Order: sequence, then structure tokens, then C-alpha cells
Amino acid sequence: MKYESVIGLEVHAQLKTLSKMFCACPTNANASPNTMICPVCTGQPGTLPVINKAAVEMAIKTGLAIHGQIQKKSVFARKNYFYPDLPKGYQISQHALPICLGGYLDISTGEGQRRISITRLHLEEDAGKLLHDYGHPEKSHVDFNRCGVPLIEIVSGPDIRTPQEGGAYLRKLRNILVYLNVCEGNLQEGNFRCDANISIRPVQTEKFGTRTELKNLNSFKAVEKALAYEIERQTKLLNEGKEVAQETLLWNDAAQKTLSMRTKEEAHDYRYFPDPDLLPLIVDGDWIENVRKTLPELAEDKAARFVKEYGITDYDAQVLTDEKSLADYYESCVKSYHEPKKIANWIMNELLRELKNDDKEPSACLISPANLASLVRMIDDATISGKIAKEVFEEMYKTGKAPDAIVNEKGLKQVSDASSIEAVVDQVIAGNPAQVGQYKAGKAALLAFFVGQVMKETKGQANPKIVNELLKKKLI
Amino acid sequence: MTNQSDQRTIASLHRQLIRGDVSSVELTRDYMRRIERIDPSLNTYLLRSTDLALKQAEEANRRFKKKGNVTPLTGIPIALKDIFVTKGIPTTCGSKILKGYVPPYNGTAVQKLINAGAIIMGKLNMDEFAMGSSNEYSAFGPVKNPWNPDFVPGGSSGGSSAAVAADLCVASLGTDTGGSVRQPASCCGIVGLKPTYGRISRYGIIAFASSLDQVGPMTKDVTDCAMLLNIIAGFDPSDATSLDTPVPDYTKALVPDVKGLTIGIPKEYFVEGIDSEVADAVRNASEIIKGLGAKCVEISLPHTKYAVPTYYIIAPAEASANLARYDSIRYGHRAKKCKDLSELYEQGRTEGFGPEVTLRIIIGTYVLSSGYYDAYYLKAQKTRTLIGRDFFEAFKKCDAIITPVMPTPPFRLGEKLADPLKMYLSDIFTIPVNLAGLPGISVPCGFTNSQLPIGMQLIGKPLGEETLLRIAYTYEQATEWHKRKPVVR
Amino acid sequence: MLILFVILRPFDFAPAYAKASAGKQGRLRRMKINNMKETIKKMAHLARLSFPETELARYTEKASAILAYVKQLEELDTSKIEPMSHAMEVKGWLRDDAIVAPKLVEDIIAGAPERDGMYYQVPRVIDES
Repeated sequence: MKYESVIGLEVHAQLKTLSKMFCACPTNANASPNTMICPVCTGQPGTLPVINKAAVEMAIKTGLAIHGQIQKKSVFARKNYFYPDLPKGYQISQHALPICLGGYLDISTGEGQRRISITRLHLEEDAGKLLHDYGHPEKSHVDFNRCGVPLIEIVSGPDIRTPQEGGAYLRKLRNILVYLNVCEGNLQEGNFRCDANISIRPVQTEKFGTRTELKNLNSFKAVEKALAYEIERQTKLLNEGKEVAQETLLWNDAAQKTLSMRTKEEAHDYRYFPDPDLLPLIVDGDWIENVRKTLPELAEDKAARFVKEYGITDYDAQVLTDEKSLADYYESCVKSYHEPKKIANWIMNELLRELKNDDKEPSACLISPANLASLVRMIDDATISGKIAKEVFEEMYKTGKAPDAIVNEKGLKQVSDASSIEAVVDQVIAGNPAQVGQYKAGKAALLAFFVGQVMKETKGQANPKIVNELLKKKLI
Repeated sequence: MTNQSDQRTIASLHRQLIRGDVSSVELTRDYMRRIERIDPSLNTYLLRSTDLALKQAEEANRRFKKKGNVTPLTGIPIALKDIFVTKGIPTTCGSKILKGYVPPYNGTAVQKLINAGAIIMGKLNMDEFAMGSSNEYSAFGPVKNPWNPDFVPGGSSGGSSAAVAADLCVASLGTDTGGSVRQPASCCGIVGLKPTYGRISRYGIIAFASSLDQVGPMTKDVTDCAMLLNIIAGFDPSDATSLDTPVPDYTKALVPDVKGLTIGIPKEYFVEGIDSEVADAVRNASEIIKGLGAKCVEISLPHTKYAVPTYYIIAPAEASANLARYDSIRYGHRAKKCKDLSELYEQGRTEGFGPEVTLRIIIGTYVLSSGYYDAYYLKAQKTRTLIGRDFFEAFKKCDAIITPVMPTPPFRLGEKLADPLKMYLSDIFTIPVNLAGLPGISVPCGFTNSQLPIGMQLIGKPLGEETLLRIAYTYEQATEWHKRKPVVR
Repeated sequence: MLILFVILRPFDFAPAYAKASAGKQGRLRRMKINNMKETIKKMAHLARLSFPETELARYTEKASAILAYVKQLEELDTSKIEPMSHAMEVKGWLRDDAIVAPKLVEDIIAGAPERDGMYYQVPRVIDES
């Protein structure tokens, strides 16, 4: 029996506002416990929520970027349940009338493009943090700093069919949020979270199978692995004639498996109702249009523009636009020195490799765009050879120094003076009579040997082109 | 037992304080002595903020000396229903679950009073979490009606109404969700106003039913009501439901003239089942107002009978969510010896909440729960629209509506405790006003043969406080009810 | 209620019809009350309240009376009516994204019934989402 997977992903993204969703406390992520609190976000008696305009605007921005319909009227609702990190005993969220409905993301899979539908996007507040391994072993501890930070929840349709598609969808969504500057997009830090819903069903059937919910997915890899594991687990169950139980499973990254939650999860009755402390959120057409105008060029469009404007390949354009900071870096370089293809090559082949090794962001790179551009120019105007340039690059990466400074310090300037090179060429020819003979006899490949020798003698600084020319001339 | 002596109102005391006939400190001390002597028999004060009051009085003295920054409320002893969050002053909301809770902030209305220089004498007894119509559901004992201690002072702002009537404070702030300012005002023979929903900020009043709660001045006469309203009304950026409309000078509405105004008399409010003394008193009042130049017309509010059931779905529902924060984790009562979180929640809350609150939380949870939401809560919110429409239509024919406040005079302590529905029905005339978000004022209009006060209610259009104050003032000045206050020893 | 009646019928074996009827009515009523008791118990748990059997019976009785009373709204045809959440038609007030430095931290955390330094302390919470 062949099964297909039906996967939906739910993302909670923390918005990069200055203040919290319903109060004016700072959203500082690294503050010491219970210092970013006020009567409102700690649910003191008598307090009331007031909506943060910037959070609404970020939600609108995101909704537009994922091609959703911004709802002119949306309603905040209370989601009622008891938990220590939830001070009011309810979370202010949106239920029946969210701020954005519909939307989609196009992702690249092995078989081309696929469109993943998005069901909805809504605003809500984050809960506090519950710690279990601090202090007294029989106690848990609560920190309300995070309580009230604005979140958007984005729910995909059940369109994802493979773990890889899931990864691609998440990466793209994250990319958009970072491009829009509405979210940091860091899974490990918890400001971009993902839960998955997954079921399987026989291919060519319509009816959904029983789905399980996966939580505790703390990296893109974990998402893909957990989905793969769960598909296998469910397939095995069904093949053995057993049923899949509807439950919430936690992904255990250490054990690389999903585990059922120890406590029996009772069905929640959240008793949603419109929050009477907040009036319906009205977003008029003008506001939406104004936000639409401020939308930055997103990755997709930027990549297309790079191909058109800079003549680089689709693939290169995609890699360069994957991170906005890298795309900006690239364009700065090109602005300094207009050789887009060459610069693209340097970034793709050299810079990205180094950054990956160090697990660094392009913004953390020590080489300034102007300097990288400079390096390329120095090759083009024959100040240094391509080979030497690689050396210089490494030094630039380590120290952040400008290429001309390094070249001068280390005396790496390419020698293009034909007369000085000639002297060395003559020296090498004179010192290697056997090889000269072989070359003249027809072993053309030995030219490389002579070039090598000349380069050795000149510590790589001889202009290889001139070396080649002179050798060819003299070895006739 | 009545007393016709000169009353200590905000207006009269303000004049005396300005003239220097009395100092704020003297006045405050006098009230403190009076409270000490009289309150034990009434049980209106849950807490007397003696030190703070004297400090404030000394500051007020300084303000008067400097003749700077003086408002009508400066130096005036005010007491607050214990539902108002007061920084540094324990606030219980009439409940065990908040016993010992010391708030870290002042609510907006309270801060406005403090800024105006009022003297906060203390926190007043109330039905627990404002759920009640008799002040018998307080965790700290019932309040007695100063006119007759065997009778209830009304609720849930029973402590406020009794304290004002007995002159244990010059005026008070209460809150009104289904009548909790107007009904106790009527029971104690004082003035109580519930303004238009959103006129006064709710930030800092412990929430019962968010879409219905409003702060209300409770005063000895209509003039004081206008003066107090001036200080506390207005938009508050901390309350998204507060109205962003300018606050007029409400004292300018105190003109004894109702010529040209039309008063509506709703036929559904004068049906069988209303006590004849109440009906007579209110009818007489409408005759007097007519005699003063207003027109009276009969109007209809056809959905009246659905108001109480609507209220007893919406209010408990909102309350069940508003009271979820009392989970003993960040403040309030905590049960001892709990082996796990589940026990912590259940024991603490069950120990802390009284039976009426518990009952309403259960009702509220039920009407919101899956499967019942549409039939109950959603249905009630739709019925509310119909009730609001009734008033909208009625106000095409009149400027204000006159009704009794309660279908009966004040009842005896213990009389309505057995059957909750009996108690709920005493709010039948006040509840529709909260559901529609309209302003309503309760004004004394008579006494029963056994000398218990009877009040009449005037209901106004949205933001129609000025019309209400005008009619109420005109009526008040043409009668002597407001001059009668109970003698308490 | 009709459904309950149908289910009970097969068990009606008493010879005297009137006697059986009374017993059946009694059973029906008891089943209804027990169902309501279970429901009220469930509601109480959702609200994190718990009480002994005697209290449960009392709350069930009072709650049933109130719920029966409020059900009269069924008489109204509200199919074309919009629900009203707020009395006034007001445009929502939105806050600018500005920070107010937290100044009440000490006063707030001073209210903690149980704390460990700057953390609120609760009984250990096992597992959970």
C-alpha cells in the first residue's frame, strides 16, 4: 500500500516591535528574569490591554508578502486555559476573525515549483517562560519577561507532501519574515517556532487520516527529521493493521524520535469569545495600501532582478538572495566595482565557504564590500594574480584589512615588468636543460612546469600571462 | 429616622475649605472619629487608610494656603468601593482570594481623585467581585442599611451607599455592572450615576463583566455628582474602550429647567409585580417633573423581559474569564500544602471564592463552552442588540426615560438569599441600561411607610449625562428628599 | 429527553403500568440530574474549582435553575441580528510602539505568594506542551 503524507505547518513568529503587544514593556529578549514586566503583562487585577499599532502593521506587511487577504475587520478573542506562564488565565489571540486569510508560498522542490497554500495569519500575545531546572528540584519557576510579546501565527494548508517540502516552506517563510524585518527568524532562540501536523493516507484518496501534532522542533533539520520519522512510524502502524492515535508528540532530538507526552493531554475547551476589552480591529484600505508601498523587494523579485540586471545565473541569484544581508552585501560590492559576475563568483566560491565554516552571518564578515570589490579590481588591472588574490582574500577575511594594504605589507604585487620577469625566465630555462629538450621535442605540457618554476622563483608574483608569453617565445 | 440638618456636601465643604472655616486636616479627623464611632454598626469600611488620609489632608491644607492647584475635590474625604485598585493600599474586592493583596499601581479614576487633592479615607465593603444586589455576598460580612439596620443597603456598592448616606465620607465612587451604583443609591436615599459606557476609564477597577462595568459617582445630591463626574470622566489611553470625546463641565447642566424636554414612561416597566409604594413614588415623581414643564409620553421597550436572562449569560461569561487570573501564582490567596499545580489551582480558588461567585463562574464557563456557545452566549449578544435598538427607537420620541430603580423597596437581610433568581430579579430595571451602554441616574423620590428610601431612575441617550443631570437637579430642587439623611449613632 | 425515554422502555417490566410509570419518570429525572451533575463537575474543573458531593448537588440545582431561566431567549428570532459586543460604535484605539521603562518591578514581584529570587515559584510542572 502506497501512502502519501499530508503535512501542515504552524509557525509562531515573534515580532520585532519595541514594546509588547498589549502594554508598553520592552520586548528585550535577554533581560534578567521578571524585569520587563508591568501590571498589564503580569495580569494584575484591574489592568487592560491596548493594541500595539506597529504589531498590526507588521502583520499586515507579512500578510501582503504571503499574498493573503488582509481583513478590514478582525477581532481579538480570549483563549481560556490555566497555566503558570499565562497570567490572565487566557491568551488574547484571534479566532473566528483573524487579520489575514488565505495566501500561498511557492517553493522549489526536486520536481520544480509547488504552491503551498496558507490558511490564515493572526496576531496574538506570547506567554511567559516556565523553567524546570532552576532552584528547588520540586518546583518550577516562572519568568514573565516574554509574556505579552507580539506573535503572528501563520497556518499552512495541509499541502506539504514531504519533509523536504516542509523544510523548504519554512526556510522560505523565514526568509520573508527576515526580509520584511518583522522577525529575527531564529529557531534556536525561539523567536521563530514551528509545530507540525501530519497524517498519512493511501495515495489517490481524499479522506484525511488521523493526524498527530509534533512539537519541540528547534531547527530546520529537526523539522525534516521529525516529519520523516513520523511518516515512517505512521506507515508502519497502518501496514501492521493498527491505528494511528490522535496525540501530541514531542520531538526528542537527542534520541532522534518522537515521544508521546507523559501526561495524558485532556481535550482543551478554550471557550473562545471576543475580548470585550478590545474593540474590533479596523484596518482601512488606505492603511493597507500604505503598507503595500513600504514592502521591500522580496527574495524572489530580487533574484529575478539580479538575473536581469547583472546577468548572473538563476542559481547564483537564488543563493545570493537567500539572505537579505548577503544580497545587500553583493549589491554594495557591485556598486563599488561593476563586475557583477566576477564578484558573484568570489562570493559564491570563496566567501560563502569561509562563512559556512565559521557559521557566520554575512553581516559579521570582516571584509567590507568595498574591499572585496577592490580585490577583484586589483586582479583585473593586473596588480596581483588570481592565485595571489586568494592569499590576500584569506588575510582580508581574518583581519578585515584592505587588499592594497595587505599587498603592500607582504610585497605581493604582481610583477608585470617584462624585463624583470625575462631575467627569471632566462634563469629557469638555463637551469633546466633536460626539460627544455623534452619540451622542444614535443611535450607541450611541460610548459606548466616552466611556468611553475618561474612562479616559484618570483614567489608567485610574476604575471602568469607574461610568463607564459615569454616562455613560449623563448622555448621555440 | 430623618435628619434635616445642613449636609456636608462636596459643594458646601469646598466653600468652607476655601473660606478657611475648616481645615482639611480638621475635616478629615472629624470624619475619622465619626467612622470609628458609627461604622462598627454598619460595617461599611473594610479598611481605613488613616495615615495616608492625614498626609493627604496636610497636603491639601498646603494647597489651600498657597491658593494654588485647588479643585472642588481638594481636601474632601472620599471613600472608594474596594474594587478600585489603590497603590500601596490593600484591595480585596470583597473577597478572601485577594485578602492581603497590595496593588502596585493606582487606577486612572483613583489617580485623578488623588491629583485633584481628594482625601482617600479608605476602602468600602461590597458584594464579592461586584456580584450581588444586597452586599450580603461579601467575604467580610454584610453592610447594614443606615435607615434601618435590619435591611440591606443594596449592592454591590452597598458599602459606598451606606457610607455616603451615613456621612462616613462626603462622597464615594462605586461601580455599576447591572445596577450596582443605582440600586444601592436608591436603597440608601442618595444619588448614584452610571455614565455612558466608556465615559469613565475602567483601568484600575477590578473587572467583573468588561462590556458592562462602569465607574459611578455616589453622592448626597445631584450637584456633588456633577462635580465628581467632572474630575473622573475622560478618555484614557490605558483603556481601549474609553470614549475619546471631550468632557463638558457637567456643573453647567445644573439648571432647574425642564421646559421643552420629553420624558418617556416605558409601559413594560410598570406592570404587575411592582410594589405599589414604589410605583406610586415614581409616578408622583413623573407628575412633578411634568408639572415643572416637561412632557410625558408613553413609550415601549418591547424586549425588556429578556434583559435579565441576557445579562445572566453575558456577565457570568465575561466574569468567568476575568476571574481566571486569580490562580495564586502572582498574588492573592494560596492554598497550603498542595502537592501539585492542579491542587494549587483548585484548592486556592475554591477556598478563595464565595458561593455566589463560584456559581456565576460555573454558569459563565457553561455558556461559553463548546456546544453551548451559540445557543447561550452568542444568542445573548444578539438579544443585546435588540435591547439596544429598543432604546434607540424610544429616544426618537423622548429625551430621557423614567423608571423605578427596583421593583420593591429595600428588602430585609437574608430575605432573598435562598433563591438566586429572586435576587437577580431586583435588577430588572437597571440591567437594560448596562446592556445598552446608556447613562442612568438614581435619585431619591420618596419613602415607604416604614421610612425606607425609594429611588427613581432616569435613563439618557448615549453621552446624555447633561440632560440627566438637568432633569435630576430640577426635580431635586423642587423636592426635599435629598435633604433627608438617616440619623446614625 | 425523548431519546432517554426510548432507551429506558425495554427495561420496563413492572406489572402495574402506573407503578412502572412513576419509577420510569423517577429514573428519567435521576438520569437527567446525574447528567447535569457531570456537566457541572466538568465546568467546575474547566474553571479550576472543586467541591465535595453535597456542594456539587447544591451548585447543580442552582445552576440548572438559572440556565433554565436564561434559556427563554430561544423565543426570540435573532437569525438576522448581529451580536453586540460594545454599546458604542467606536473606532478602536491603537497604541504607538513606544516603550515605558518598567518601574514597578519590585512592587509587582513583592506580591508573589512564593518566589525564588526574581522568579515566581510553583509546584513542579511535569512535561506539557
